[in-house]
Amino acid sequence: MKNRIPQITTLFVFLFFYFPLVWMVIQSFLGKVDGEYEWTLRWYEQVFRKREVLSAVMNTVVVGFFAAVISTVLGTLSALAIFKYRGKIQEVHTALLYIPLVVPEILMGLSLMIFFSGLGLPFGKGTVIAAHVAFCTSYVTVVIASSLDGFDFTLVEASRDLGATYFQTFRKVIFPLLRPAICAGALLAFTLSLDDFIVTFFVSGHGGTTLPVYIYNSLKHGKVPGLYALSSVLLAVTFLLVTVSVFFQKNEFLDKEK
Amino acid sequence: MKQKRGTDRSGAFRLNELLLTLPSLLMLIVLVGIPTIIVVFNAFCADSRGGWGEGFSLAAFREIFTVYYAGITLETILYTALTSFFSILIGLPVAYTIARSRGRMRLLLLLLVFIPFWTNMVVHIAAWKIVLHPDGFLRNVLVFMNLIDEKQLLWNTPFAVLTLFVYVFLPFAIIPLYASIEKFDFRLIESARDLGATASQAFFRVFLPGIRNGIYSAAMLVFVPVFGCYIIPQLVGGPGCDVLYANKIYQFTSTQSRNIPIAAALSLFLLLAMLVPWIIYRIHLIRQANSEGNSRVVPEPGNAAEIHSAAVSCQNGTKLDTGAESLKNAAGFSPASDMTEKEGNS
Repeated sequence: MKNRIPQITTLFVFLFFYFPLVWMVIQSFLGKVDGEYEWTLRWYEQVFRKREVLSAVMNTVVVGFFAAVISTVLGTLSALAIFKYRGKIQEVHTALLYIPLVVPEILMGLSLMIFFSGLGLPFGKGTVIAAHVAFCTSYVTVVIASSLDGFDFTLVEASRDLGATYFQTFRKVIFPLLRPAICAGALLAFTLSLDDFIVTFFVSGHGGTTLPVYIYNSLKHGKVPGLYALSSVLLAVTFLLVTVSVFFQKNEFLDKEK
Repeated sequence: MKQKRGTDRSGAFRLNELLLTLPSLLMLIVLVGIPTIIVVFNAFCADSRGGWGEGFSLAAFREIFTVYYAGITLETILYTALTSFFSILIGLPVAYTIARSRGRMRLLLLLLVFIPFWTNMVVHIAAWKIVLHPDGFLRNVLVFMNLIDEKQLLWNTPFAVLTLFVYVFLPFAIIPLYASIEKFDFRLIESARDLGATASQAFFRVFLPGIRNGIYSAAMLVFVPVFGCYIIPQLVGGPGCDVLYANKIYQFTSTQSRNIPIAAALSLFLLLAMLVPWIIYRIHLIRQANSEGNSRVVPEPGNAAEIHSAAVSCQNGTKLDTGAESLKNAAGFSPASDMTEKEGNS
């Protein structure tokens, strides 16, 4: 059966996907001098000289880092807990873990906004980190729980029987076995944090503006020079993170060949 | 000695469970449980001026049961339905091509789907603004070719909103479709052809029914986020089509026209809109299980609805079902990514 329609459609879909993105990156390097277009870095220079942009970049990195670290720790613990134990507590635990995966983001953003303002917390980096931890933990848990499927808990018991403390057991037995999943979970959490706009927007206030929120504000208030440069930077970081994670787990995709 | 350790352990067992559980459980209660309850509570305590009220009231719901909101809801459903339809129509051949490719080619094609999937929506909007801008490349070409009128704009039109919706949410359709086609046994097509079916008969009566769960989950994974998306109409729609359902929620949370009870009531309906297709899907799965005599239907990976079902019924004890992995987990980050095989052939 030599039907070429799927391949041709795929080609067009990838052109559809990448034409606007590539075009934007090209535009971010183009400048008009005396009516002539020429390659330039001036948009990047201009935009990264702005104080608000630098603080937005800093916020994005700080929020992503703390959200990834905290949610990876919490997600690892919760995955071990729901994998190992049964009972009412774990049922509630699992149900709560599922909520951020299924609830529309706008509802999550709204609920956290009402909650934080009810508590009288100042909106800023802190509230954004808390909000990101709230949804990243669930994703990290899913990643780690799925890798626990083949996990042999007798190793943990053996380690305990041989006199290791809980901390030693975790450090020398559990962590090395789970390291690939923990790394994948942390990378996922950072990417989720970087990818999020809706929840961040609701809880960021003035002090917690991240790069996506800054780009949104520029888009909303008309064209700002350097907007495309900034978007290109965000695109490049996403590209890097996704490529790294896919090649990191290359064998998972390649092994499945029949 | 042995006896002592045994009793010691059962006590330590509870303690260990609590030590492992409490950090994330406390975080989830504070940051997920309580805020969700507060939203539900808020929807029922609006006063007549639309602010925070005293006691129980249905004022917020009376406010949104109007022709105006019905119109907005219908318009939003139209957009979501069109987006789901086009995403599946376009996504199907792409998913098929990826599922039929091998080795490094498949890896590359998947990567090319994951990148737009993970790119922030605001970046996509910025990119499309250049393409559809009044002085942009596309409009100039179309005007030059006399395909559109001189005065016709591309940006700030329903066409632009729909294009952006399909563009942003197409990867959400491709990934579950791919996962389901990957599991499809193509020998069925060969047998159908050998038994005299035409190519289109084999496609419509063997292939499409065979991957129908993938199609349902693609439809839902597009439907839900489109319904809750306010940035695309707001930034792309322009006057005339910048207010869809989620935009109303956004408006009632902004400082100018803050009305939390109405925003909360609208969000609860959004949740309901999400649950309706999920319930339909569940009924379908149960029917399918009954008709095929399976005790347990293999869930599509990357299916948010399946995750929900597990959460509600806790069928699998308390372990997260690996078959019910979330979409974002499937999209390139799971070390034990089940999107290709594993439970599919079991």
